Amino acid sequence: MRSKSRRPLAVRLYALLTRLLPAEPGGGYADDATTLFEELHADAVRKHGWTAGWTLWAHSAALLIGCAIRERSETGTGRRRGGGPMGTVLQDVRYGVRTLAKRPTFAMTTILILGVGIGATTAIFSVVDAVVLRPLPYPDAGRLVHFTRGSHSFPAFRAWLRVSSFESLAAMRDYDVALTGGGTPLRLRAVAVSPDFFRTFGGAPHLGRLFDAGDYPGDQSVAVLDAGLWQRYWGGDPSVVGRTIVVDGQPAVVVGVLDPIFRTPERETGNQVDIWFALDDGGVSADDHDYHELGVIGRLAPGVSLEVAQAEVDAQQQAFAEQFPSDYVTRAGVIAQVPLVLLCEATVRQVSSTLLTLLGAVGLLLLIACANVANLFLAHGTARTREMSLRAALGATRLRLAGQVLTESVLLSLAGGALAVVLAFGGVELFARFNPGGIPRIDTLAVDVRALAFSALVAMLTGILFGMLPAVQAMGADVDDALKDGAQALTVSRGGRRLRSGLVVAATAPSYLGSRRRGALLGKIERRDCFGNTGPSALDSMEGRAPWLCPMRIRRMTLTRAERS
Amino acid sequence: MTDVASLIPLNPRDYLILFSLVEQDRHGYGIVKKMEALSRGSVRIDPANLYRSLKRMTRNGLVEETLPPQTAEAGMERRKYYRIRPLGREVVELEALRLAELTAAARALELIPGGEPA
Repeated sequence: MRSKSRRPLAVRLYALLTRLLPAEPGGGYADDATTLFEELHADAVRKHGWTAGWTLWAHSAALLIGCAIRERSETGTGRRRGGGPMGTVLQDVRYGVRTLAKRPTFAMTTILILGVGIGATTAIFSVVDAVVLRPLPYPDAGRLVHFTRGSHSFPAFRAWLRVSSFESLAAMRDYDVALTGGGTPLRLRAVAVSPDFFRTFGGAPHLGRLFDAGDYPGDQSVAVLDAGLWQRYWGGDPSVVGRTIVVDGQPAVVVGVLDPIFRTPERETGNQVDIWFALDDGGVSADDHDYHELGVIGRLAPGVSLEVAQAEVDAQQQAFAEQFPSDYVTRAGVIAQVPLVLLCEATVRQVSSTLLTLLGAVGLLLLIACANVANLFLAHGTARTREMSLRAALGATRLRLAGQVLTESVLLSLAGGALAVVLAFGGVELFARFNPGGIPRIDTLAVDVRALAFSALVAMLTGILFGMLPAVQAMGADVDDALKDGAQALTVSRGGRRLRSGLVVAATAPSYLGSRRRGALLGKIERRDCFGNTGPSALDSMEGRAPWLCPMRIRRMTLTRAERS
Repeated sequence: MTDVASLIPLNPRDYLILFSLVEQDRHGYGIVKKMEALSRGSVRIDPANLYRSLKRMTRNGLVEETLPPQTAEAGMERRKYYRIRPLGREVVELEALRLAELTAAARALELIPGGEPA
């Protein structure tokens, strides 16, 4: 039996909707319907793919909502007129639904704007949060620094080990190996690591042990398995520790399995590691500075700043330059430096500026959405001034009028919010599904509930605030004027006109800014696409990866580039 | 006691649900699949409306909840099985007779091929 947390998104959303069904003494049939939907959804996805799954969801969800409305009307939930405050609210809800149904264009536009505004902002913020903002999952991750400028030589690494600014240094070299000896050979991603690697990152064994001093210099005779490979290939069998496996035709003893919670730096940059070996540096002589094959990451000693460590590394490079000028001095006579960068910056540097630009763009989108919703409500409110004045003239209290308008605003906001939830979850799922690879930390992607709540709150408050306007106007309006026939009765006060003009400016300005920003964003993509590629291939791959990008725009970008060159 | 005559004619969906339970007890998924097979895919019911219909039919005494049969696959404990009650069988028989009479009448008018003129 599948656990509820592992159910597909469509099933979870369906289960959420079953809460619309009225509560019944026997428990109702919400769970039964969800279980059946899960089975039918699995059938549809298996036979016709995931689009069929979502089509089934849309169909079943619509019928479920209809079913819930009929159930509630049959059980008499909405039949109590004048039954205290609750009866008033229900009456307002019924009246509100009828009013909105009479103006479907207004209702649908508002719901769509709210949904897209909130949903897109949440989806992009969730991606930015998962990829850029969330700290790396290591103890004291702010002390981890990356030695940039590609890979480094063994002698350089040995010399850096003596730099006092670092508490520990980790070197790693990745390569492919073949696991044989048990049926079909399996190609694995292997990483050979220096003795302090796991200490630097705080890695721990799930089973057995990690490498110790006796395993060095390594020769691929002892191996630590990644938890993923252990589950995939050995089905989580604990007896694998101590067993001899055949890697590249050579026997290797499995000494341990890595803790599944531990996320390696490779995994943080979107790559999987299957098996770990102790690093072998026996064959490299002390003055062979030409052979670069190690990635190096260091942990700063407590209280040591990046600048101090950089100065020490620079001094070391200076010493190398004097000793081995052919390896460390460029043709221009400049000493090759190794800039140190905080690991968190190095991990996401390729994509952070693009994603943050995108976040800025969708922030503007939310602003535009709010301004547009406010404008729609104002226009709607002006059109209803007569109705409100009439109701006031017939004896409706201010509280009653305000309550009615508030109910309509809340109804629209809730519908927009529901659409936003679907768009946010769907958007994030699409982003993860179409990930072309190379985006760091994409596997931790999930909808950020705080962002969803924030966007929803901002958009809903806008709706409620501006939705109240007809009631406020009705309170101040002259009933005689308002009830006169003809359009002149529906004039707007000077204050109202100013407010609407302001909102038009508020809606247009971000649109303009957004278009300018989008230009900058596309310019950035032209130079380097969001996956770090540069040059003409970056744009070519963009065409393949972003079919939704207007072909005209791509052509224009291509032309511009051709003109420049 | 529900009056049988008041339940006739059955709506096509209820008819198919009862019909699918005549042969054997079934769970929700089994009923949906049997309905699809009986109607050659033309009648598809969604989960909420299926259970709403089953709830109504249980209240009217046409069907009842029952335990999974001995032959049920493992892991099916969470599923509710439904069994047709004598009243339900009577209703489905009456509805089938009504449909048969309509079909015979249609044949008599040569609206559909086959059979002897009535």
